[in-house]
Amino acid sequence: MASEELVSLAKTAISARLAERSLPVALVGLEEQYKKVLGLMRRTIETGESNSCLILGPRGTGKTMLVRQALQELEKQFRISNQDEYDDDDDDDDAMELDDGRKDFMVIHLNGLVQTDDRMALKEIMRQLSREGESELGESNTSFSDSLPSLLTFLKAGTRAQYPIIFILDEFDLFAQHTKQSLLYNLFDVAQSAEWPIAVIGVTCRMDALELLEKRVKSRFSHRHYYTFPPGDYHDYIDICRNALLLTPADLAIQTDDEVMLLRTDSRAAEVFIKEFNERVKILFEDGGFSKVVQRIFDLMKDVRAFYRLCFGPVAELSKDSPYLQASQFYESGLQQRVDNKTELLKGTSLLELSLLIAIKHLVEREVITFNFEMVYDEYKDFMDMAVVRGTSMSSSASSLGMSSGGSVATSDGVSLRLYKKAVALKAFEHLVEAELLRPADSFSKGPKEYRMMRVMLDASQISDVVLKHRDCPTIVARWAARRA
Amino acid sequence: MATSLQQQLHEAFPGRAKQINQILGFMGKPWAPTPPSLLINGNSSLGKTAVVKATLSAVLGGGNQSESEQQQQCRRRVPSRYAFLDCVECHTPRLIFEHAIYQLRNPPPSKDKGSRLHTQNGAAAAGTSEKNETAATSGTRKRKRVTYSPLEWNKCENVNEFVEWCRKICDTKDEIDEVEMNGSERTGSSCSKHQNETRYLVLDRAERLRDTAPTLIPVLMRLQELTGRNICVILITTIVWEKFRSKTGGYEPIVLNFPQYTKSETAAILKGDLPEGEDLDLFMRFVDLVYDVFQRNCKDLNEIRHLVALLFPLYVKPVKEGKIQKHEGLKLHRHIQAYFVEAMDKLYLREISSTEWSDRTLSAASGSLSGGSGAGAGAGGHVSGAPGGDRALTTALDVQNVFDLPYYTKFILIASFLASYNPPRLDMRYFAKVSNQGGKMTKRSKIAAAKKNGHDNMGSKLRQQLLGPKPFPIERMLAIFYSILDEEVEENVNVHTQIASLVSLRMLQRVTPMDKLDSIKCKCNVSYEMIKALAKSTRFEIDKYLFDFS
Repeated sequence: MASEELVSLAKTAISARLAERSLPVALVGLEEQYKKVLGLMRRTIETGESNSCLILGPRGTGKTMLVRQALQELEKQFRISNQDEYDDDDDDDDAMELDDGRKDFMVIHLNGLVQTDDRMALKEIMRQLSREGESELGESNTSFSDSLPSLLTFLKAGTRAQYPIIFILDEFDLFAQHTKQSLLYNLFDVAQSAEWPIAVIGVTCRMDALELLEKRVKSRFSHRHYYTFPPGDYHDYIDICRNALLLTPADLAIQTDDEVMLLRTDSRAAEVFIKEFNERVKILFEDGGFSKVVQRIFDLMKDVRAFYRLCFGPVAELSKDSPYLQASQFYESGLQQRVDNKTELLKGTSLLELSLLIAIKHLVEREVITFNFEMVYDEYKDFMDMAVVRGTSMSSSASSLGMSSGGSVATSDGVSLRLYKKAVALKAFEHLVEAELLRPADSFSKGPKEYRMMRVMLDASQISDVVLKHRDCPTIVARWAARRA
Repeated sequence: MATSLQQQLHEAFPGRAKQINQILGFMGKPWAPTPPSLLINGNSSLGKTAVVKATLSAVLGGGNQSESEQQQQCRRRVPSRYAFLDCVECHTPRLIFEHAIYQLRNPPPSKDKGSRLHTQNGAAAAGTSEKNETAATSGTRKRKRVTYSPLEWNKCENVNEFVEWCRKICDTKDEIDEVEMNGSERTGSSCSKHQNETRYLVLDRAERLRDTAPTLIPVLMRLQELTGRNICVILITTIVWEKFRSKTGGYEPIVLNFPQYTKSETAAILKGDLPEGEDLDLFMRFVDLVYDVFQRNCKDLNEIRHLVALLFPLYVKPVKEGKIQKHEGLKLHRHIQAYFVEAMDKLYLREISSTEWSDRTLSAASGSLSGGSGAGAGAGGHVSGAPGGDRALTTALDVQNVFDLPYYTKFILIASFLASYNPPRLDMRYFAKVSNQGGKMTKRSKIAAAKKNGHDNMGSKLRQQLLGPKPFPIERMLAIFYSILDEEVEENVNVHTQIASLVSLRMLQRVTPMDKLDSIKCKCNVSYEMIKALAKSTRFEIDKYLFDFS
């Protein structure tokens, strides 16, 4: 039977994979690209040749993962300890076989989101270099104009026999937007002039990233690019998803000494647990409802991360009492991630806000695309006037609460509708603006806010949908909403 | 321990059990990997902020509700595991970064100030003392430092530095922490030596983040990947995630939706509001009543709470005076009815403060509450200085009645209202004095004109009344002014002074730039209600001159 430790270990391992903190067990559909990227880096390290390449692909297709996987592989081969990588806990079997001096290499990670200009990027390079104990440049120079030449002389003074450096430029397109692209220019220049062995690897989701480069930068780039694509057919997609959920023996052993001890004592129990767990996962993937959920995601966006998001909930619910994943959990979290949050938000609107939205819907149907509060209120008032007339002609019975004084109408389902004062309605209108269901049509306009022109950010069908789903919408209002102009 | 904690949270937040469980599930063990980012979404006053705050502080320390004394002892000296920021307060990236760093490097605020001394050790352990004293220390920052400041305020200007700080913070080992942890034999505590505990960064009112910097949201969404550490970013917002997406896309958070409270949940929450010394049964009955009356139109829990607090004294007043017995629900209901009608009219407006309101209502006898009380639209928030009269809710309308202008100025204002809302081509028919028919349009010709304009097939929604004031040249307004005045006024500088003063009162709005002296154009910035009141006071029949008004 599964012990609590085992379950929590499994939970940790799987959620680390889902959060993309640890790498997937196997590459699916990216073997080709992986081989090429790995080969490129390896050549830089082994033979000291300088390289540059771009990895292009839509978000969530595994670009960064590819690079990380390659780096991990290289680390395993060349035995360095890089502080930036988390899991280099390979065993000591191939420890000291590499001793010909320059098998070490260094990785510098830059991200376009973080290093938003060249100065910052340069500082970061310096920092990462000096942390590796390679140079003392980091502290001495602070200004861009000072540090760039010193970095360049540092790099250019090197020979082929130097320590290879691998530059990873994540969100490459953002680097191309820096003024003059001087960082890219210099990096590519160093790579081309083949002095210090470096590999520059750009990762981006913009397919036209190459077009962003200036001519002088482009000409120094090697024009290697590799593309990653979302999994092409459903099988691959399923494979990736399943891999994320399947446990491997390593998952339960990655921990510290204590855990290894624990495993030694009852490794049999762990094996049984893994087997059982994986069996359940396989059954899970055969479940009809579950495949429907996955198929839906695949049909919509082919995004692996969408599936990962869906898994967080069920994985978090794993416990000693329910140590295995169950299909029903996925139905629920599938539904939860799928709901139209806007409709959900709208369900919580008050009747007055709903009435205003219906009024807006009627306006839009009459091709009054931009409107202001006064128009909406007028439409709302028209309806209420009509309702009052009809209400009094039908029956003059008091509403259940006896609130029929002053312009309120008792509807057939015992709900009193009342015409709200303009000020109250304006408040409700502003609440809709605050929720960004309405948006000002022009950037700013002076004058009273009642007359500020607005646009609605909802579809007419969404509004009708809300009216149907709304918990307590009187029939008369619902009928008004359904009526076409 | 976990279950009792869970239970406590469930009790503290009725109707939020599922959400609390989900959050707790995502958090897992202190060092377990978490999703990179969560988005908590729901309408206002659904307990989003409160639930997140309470859950984090209960699990991660700082709160004193759940943890055993001994554990709290060791927790208190440890830097906080979470930072809670309000994006209204932190409106620039720099403020967000610096506040986050400050909170994460210092112990969570707790009631016991005595244990602050110990944090100095933690500071030394952190070993990173950048002595960056910014010259522009804001007031709040200074105050914070005075009250409790074991560590300096650290400067952090950009994302790069922030990411660096995050790494540093996550890698900081607390000596005290480890000693205590090893001392207390908790299962798996040895893990914390190797893997660092998850840090949480909570950003309340995250919709404001979009105004700060374009790349900030993508950065926060993948902070975990960028730092390579266990950091979970939680965004709390009232708007949907779609509005956050940036052009190039990015990592998507897990969305948690907070649904509306049901009736029983609302009642359970309001139970806690029972005023001292009151009968619970009676109170709950009243809560029930208020909920039934108002819930359709008022989904905001805080507003319902406000109403309950406001109206309950009135509800129990007859009981206290001995006029009505407690169990006579119907009688009590009838008694409170009038107040409900009034409160409905004032829903959300809060034109006067609650204390003021209760003062007035309680002092007022059971006076003339009926008759709609004539609430008016107007510049909300004005409080007339009138002493508590008969009516409980004195309104902004009084401001309009009280507001007085010189006689001619009133006419200038009326003329500019006419100029703003009437089409110029009809000026001849309305205001020309030469015409035989007395210069006034008949009702029939008005309708004809309206039809010709094609207003009817638009549902008359493009009337000037609804579109708002149009700018008009001053000359046109003056012509109307002289036309609607019965007596002769000579054009002199006084008229123009009056116009200038109306502009400075913001009753007229100048649309041409100030340096342009010729052909000035203005807009009338006054509501129809106010103009009607003005016209009444000058006995001017405004309705006869307005085109297409209702």
